[in-house]
Amino acid sequence: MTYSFFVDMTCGGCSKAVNAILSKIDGVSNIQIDLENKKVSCESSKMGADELLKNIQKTGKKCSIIA
Amino acid sequence: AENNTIVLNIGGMTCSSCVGIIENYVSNVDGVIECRVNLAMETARVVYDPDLTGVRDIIRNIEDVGFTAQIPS
Repeated sequence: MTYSFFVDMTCGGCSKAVNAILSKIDGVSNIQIDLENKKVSCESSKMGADELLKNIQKTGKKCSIIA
Repeated sequence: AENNTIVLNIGGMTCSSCVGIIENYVSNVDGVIECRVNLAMETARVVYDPDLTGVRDIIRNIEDVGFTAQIPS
């Protein structure tokens, strides 16, 4: 399943953090981060959108599920 | 047990929003009481309960968000 999120990233450090968090999760692959449009998408075979969002929220950044 | 405080050198921070990420993420760790990051000094000051967590865990969590953390030598 492919999931997309809005994540209020402001700099390279933020996108690096989101990428690091997602790449740690079992079953997640193909992480794509679009800093300008504040969009993050990835494939996930095990974890669902809500739980993925909960992990991203640990950064304290405003974020929501797009698709 | 008495809380411990440790100051770690943080690598990879590029802007003030990275400070917020580390402070939020580390504060989520069980046993961490408080985490303050100083961007200018590139350090993080973490107050934690040694019964629940340790420096090793705290460093690993900071690395989980894509930054580096070292105990000042």
